[in-house]
Amino acid sequence: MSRLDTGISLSTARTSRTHSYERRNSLVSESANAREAGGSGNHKVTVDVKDDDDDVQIISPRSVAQARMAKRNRRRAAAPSSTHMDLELSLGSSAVPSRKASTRASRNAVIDLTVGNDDEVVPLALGKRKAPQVSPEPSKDVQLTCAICMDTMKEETSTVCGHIFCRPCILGAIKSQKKCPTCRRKLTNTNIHRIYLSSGTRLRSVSFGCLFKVLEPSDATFVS
Amino acid sequence: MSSSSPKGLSRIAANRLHKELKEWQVNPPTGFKHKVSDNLQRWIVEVTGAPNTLYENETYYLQVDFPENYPMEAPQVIFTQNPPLHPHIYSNGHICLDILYDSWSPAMTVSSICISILSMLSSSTEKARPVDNDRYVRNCRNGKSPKETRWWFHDDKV
Repeated sequence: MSRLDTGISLSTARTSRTHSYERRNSLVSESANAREAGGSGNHKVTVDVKDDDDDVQIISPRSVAQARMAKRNRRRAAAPSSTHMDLELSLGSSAVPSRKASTRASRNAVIDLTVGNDDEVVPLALGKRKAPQVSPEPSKDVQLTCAICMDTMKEETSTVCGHIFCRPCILGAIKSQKKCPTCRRKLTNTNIHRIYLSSGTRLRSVSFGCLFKVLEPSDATFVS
Repeated sequence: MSSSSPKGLSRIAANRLHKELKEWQVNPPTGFKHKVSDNLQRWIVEVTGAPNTLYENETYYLQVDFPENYPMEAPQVIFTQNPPLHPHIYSNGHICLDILYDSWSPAMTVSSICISILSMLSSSTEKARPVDNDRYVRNCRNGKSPKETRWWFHDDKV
């Protein structure tokens, strides 16, 4: 979320801010409703709305799940993968044990998030096209080759003995020989499973795509 | 190439053979030459005996025929013309080598077969036909493929 909002703030700062807060507020009222329905205290909610502070409202055992759902939906729509997001997810799990722990966690979250936001604003404001690297990326150029078809791996599938082939290829090999093409271990169709090696890379590349779009004025509406 | 696109090969087999041929052209196995032809389904490969072996500087020809569902099924590999004198190579060119039959794996390639055959030649200590050569060759008279033979792989030294 933070990346998209800060990105747009370059050109149409005022509007995008409003947009994002509206969105946040609606999220708050949703969770508030949920809490009222549950019959527990909701004093925190009002504090958050006035405070303009990002995400304190999310951290409460009851609303965690809901917030997470909302986040997930939003992520699906815009696919921003940021530290911001990851942090919230991890807080969600740490908030479960006790209310005290969750409050403490939320305080940490506020500090971390502001820092995170500042970090991200800088490169974007400089007009850099490249998004900041959050973590060392797995090499994007890793292209596995299937030993059976000798082509780029499609639907990477591992055998129980740890050898990876295209799914159609290994299925064909098992059908004809009932053993692993690499080590000759006996195999059946239940001894293989699909693996997802590059999902992280793919997700990041999606968020890059969004950033590029945001930076072009003609596409500014894309974010809201 | 497209004009000779072999009817006998599946799309998967043809794709894989194109890849193998490309790889071969970049990095051919030592001692082997692929005789250029338009026929993707039958490769003729020239073998030169390795230095310091009984077959040093001798030249032989391998014929590799690919089945429709290659690489799920092994190719048929035989020596043409004058097969080398070797305890596991019959006078009709058939080769008694497990990876060509029971132990074939779709992860193997023409290149890896060639290396195995050269290794088999190189480790030979005598130039001789298999003991059952005449019986076997008589049995195969009407053009039987070596893939139809029920081989008994008993020797793991040569």
